Amino acid sequence: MQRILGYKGIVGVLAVLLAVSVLMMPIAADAAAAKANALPQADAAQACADAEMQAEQDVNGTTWLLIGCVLGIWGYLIAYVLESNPPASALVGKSPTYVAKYTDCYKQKAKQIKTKNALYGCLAASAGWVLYYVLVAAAVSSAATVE
Amino acid sequence: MKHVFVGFTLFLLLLKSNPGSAQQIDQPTPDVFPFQTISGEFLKIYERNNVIDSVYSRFYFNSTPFMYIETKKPFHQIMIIKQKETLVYYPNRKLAYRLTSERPPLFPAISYLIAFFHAEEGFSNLGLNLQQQDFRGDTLITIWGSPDPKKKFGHYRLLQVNDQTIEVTYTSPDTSIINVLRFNDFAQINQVVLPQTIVSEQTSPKYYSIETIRLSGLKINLPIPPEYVNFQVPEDTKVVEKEW
Repeated sequence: MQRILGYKGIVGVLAVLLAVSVLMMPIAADAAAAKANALPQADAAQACADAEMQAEQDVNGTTWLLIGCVLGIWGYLIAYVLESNPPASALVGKSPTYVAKYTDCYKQKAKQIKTKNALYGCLAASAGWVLYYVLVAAAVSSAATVE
Repeated sequence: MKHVFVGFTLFLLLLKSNPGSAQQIDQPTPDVFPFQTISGEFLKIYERNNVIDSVYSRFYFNSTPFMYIETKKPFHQIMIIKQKETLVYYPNRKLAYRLTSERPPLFPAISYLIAFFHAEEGFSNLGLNLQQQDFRGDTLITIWGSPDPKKKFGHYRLLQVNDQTIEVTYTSPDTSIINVLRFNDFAQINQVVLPQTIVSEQTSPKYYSIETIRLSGLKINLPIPPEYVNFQVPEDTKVVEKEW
């Protein structure tokens, strides 16, 4: 090797290798950082998906529709204020990122299901009352015309 | 208070998707369990829509109620549930979340034992009555439902052997939702019979999940070490307050 390249040749090859490794270092570091960052991001996405699925499983939309229907605007307000029993079991052994994201997404999704359904119930009940009054008014008006 | 708790907990565990579920429970009172304290380890294996996850933790529970759970892997995590507060602490990261909720959180693993000890009582508290009973071998099968046929409540099926609950199944009126709790692998500890394996299986058109809890090293009525009961996060810990 020494004979073919000579001393200067070896130094040259080493210099090239060193230069390449120095140039590649930030790229490798970025790749490692990107990989490290991707883990919490994946964790957060999984946490949100899990939380939303759990909220859908835990919070009963039909119940809140009925509450909205019966209690009208009060049902909607109760749905907005009233919370569920959170499933602490889902957080056991999970990462900090997962815990933070799960709690936010669970709360948001549970509230969304309850308020949406209570609002639908409230609107359905209101529409029912409006229809009732229209029919009564029409009946009264028709009776008055006959007289 | 006890009967309200037992009723709502059963409601919550087995009736999650049934119309009428109020989805709220209060704290358990000390007389809900036939022990003052319980400690041991649990392995939780959870599968939902073909994704499997597992965790192994050590726990201490007292019926005041208070629960301390420590997990070593994949993250060293200490969880403390007390009243309406859940503290999730990561010693290696000097980070903690203090989660407060309007309603008390459900205790991991322990909540299932309420259905084991109080299934029949829970049905009565929910206003259900016994509609059918039959023996198959040494297993007593009872069916519970609402006395009002107009109420579309679905029904519960309770399987017992020697007065011991081995399975509770909830089936929705249209049979699209079936939730099953199974208790296996019984051990007698200080005169109290406890299931060491609990399986919760939930099936609906949207999801399928199965959670298996394996309890081991169970000890009951031993005092919980004060360092767990009075646990405080170190002063240099960053505590993030959250509501959920």
